[in-house]
Amino acid sequence: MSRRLEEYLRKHRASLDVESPDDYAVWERVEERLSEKSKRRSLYPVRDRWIAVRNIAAVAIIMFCVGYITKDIINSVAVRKSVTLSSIDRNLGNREKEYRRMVNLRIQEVQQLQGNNNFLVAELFSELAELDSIYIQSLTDLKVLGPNDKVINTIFDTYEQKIRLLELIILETNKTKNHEDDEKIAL
Amino acid sequence: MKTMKRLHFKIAAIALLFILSSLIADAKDIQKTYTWKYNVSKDGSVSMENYDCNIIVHTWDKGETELKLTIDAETRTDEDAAVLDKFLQNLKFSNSQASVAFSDRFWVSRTTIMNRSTMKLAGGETVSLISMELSGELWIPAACRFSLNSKYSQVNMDDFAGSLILNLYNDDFYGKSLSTPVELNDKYSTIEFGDIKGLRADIYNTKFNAGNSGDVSFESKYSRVTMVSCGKLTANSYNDKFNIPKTGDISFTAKYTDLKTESSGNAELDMYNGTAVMTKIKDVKLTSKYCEYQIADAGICNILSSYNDKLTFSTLNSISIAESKYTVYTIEFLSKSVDEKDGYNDKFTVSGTGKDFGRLALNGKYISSSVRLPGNTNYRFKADVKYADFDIDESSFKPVVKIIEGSNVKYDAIKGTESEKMPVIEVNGYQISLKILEK
Repeated sequence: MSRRLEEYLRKHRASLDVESPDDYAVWERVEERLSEKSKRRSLYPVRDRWIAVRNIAAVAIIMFCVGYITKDIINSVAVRKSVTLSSIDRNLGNREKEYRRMVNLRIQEVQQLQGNNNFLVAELFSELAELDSIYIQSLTDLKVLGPNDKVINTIFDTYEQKIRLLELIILETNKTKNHEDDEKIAL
Repeated sequence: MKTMKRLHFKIAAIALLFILSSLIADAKDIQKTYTWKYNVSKDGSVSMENYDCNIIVHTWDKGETELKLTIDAETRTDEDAAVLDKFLQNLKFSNSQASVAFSDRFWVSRTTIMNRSTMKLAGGETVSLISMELSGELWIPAACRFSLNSKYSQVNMDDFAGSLILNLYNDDFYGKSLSTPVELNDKYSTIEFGDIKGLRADIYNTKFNAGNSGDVSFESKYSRVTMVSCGKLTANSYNDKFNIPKTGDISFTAKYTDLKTESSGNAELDMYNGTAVMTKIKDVKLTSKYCEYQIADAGICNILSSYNDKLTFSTLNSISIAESKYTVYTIEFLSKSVDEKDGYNDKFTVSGTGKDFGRLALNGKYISSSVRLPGNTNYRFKADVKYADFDIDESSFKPVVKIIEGSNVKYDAIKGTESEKMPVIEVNGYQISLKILEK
């Protein structure tokens, strides 16, 4: 215990050594403290209000972000659901998967071919690009109309057409090569 | 702890209640026909934007136009039904005495997921639908200018005397007779017409069928075109099938296309990797590569360029070939002449000739040919060939010139009595084989 405290207790022993606490003094002291506190709060009212505004804004921003992210996730799930045939029917999904596999096989074959400057082959590639735009358009229509037979048929038609075009690209490339070889032999 | 559990239970119960209430919310049916009627001059302009709505287009003699749109929809709630009904009741279309523009695509956006549609209407209100089917009837002046943009619909149209512009996508269009030419843009539709005055079409993956027509012009891809007859046929075609029994003159540029006609005027064909089956044709001008032709009866055939083709004629007046490579010519009956200026690896078979037969002249390399002549035909035979392979009956010849120098052969011989207009068979070039057969 510090000396100051010892001295203080020795001096005020008489007043401190009572059987019951001085209620009046205690409450007076509490009131004093409370009034001090309220005085302190009212010292910076503008700042306090700004803090409150800041807190509310922060909560609002957090809520907005959470809402936006949630909406985005829901939308992306919905869009993904709406643009795949498998979300309409499993069989359609499987059929599309099979078409994709066939298209990919032919794309691989085309990639293995040596470059061909033939304008016909270039034209066939531009046809493929047009088919891609029709396919995208059909997916948009599928989103608007839902499972519409015509839209679904168009989607499959684009796959079939794509396969035919890729086969033509292979054929045309080989055709040019074969005839170039034939003419070399003949000469 | 107990209080928390109670709170959680209450939240779960409220959420479940919300979900159930949304699921069992009362669906509402709308089956209603809405009508719009406007005055328009008889030669005015009427346009219709049609989407996923089966529509019948009628014509009348009145100076007005009318659209009746029937909606058969099931909405999620009564409120949705009320909103949609109010929207359609208040819907107005742009109109004046000169033109009216209808549209049954009255939503700004529409999304269908799991068979449930959400439709945002012009004005911002949103309607939830379980199903919606639209059908309509449109009345237009019989001689107006009518423009139809349609998608995913069935369209039936009465006889029409005005000008018609069709922009279709994935439709079934059934039109009757048209007394003015039609302008058509289409993808993926089935289109049928009765007799039409004429047609200018840009089509893609279209099934087109019509009766008799005036001049027609096609810009087409992956389509099937059948018609009973047409005037002049002009086409720029890619991977199509044309079947028109009777045509006027033909101007046909095509790749991977099949053409079939029975009776045609003069034809100018520029084809790649296709077939042409023609029963009767006047004169034909040809530029071709990798094609097959079966022509029953042709006049003069003028080949500007041929590469790896196969041409079969049942009856042919005459054929003139400017440039040809790897092509097989089969002529069952040749009336007048064959004249090849620059051939390479071609094959000629002429199975018969008539009394007017005048000339068979082949110039080039690696040509193989055979010609059958009537036994009593007098003709002149001329040749200047290196590495010749002739199968001819020299015993009946009176040689005027016959020089053999190593592998070079020069011939000038006459069979029978020489005359000024006697037929001439002449071959010049390198490695040419010729067989002359006589009945």
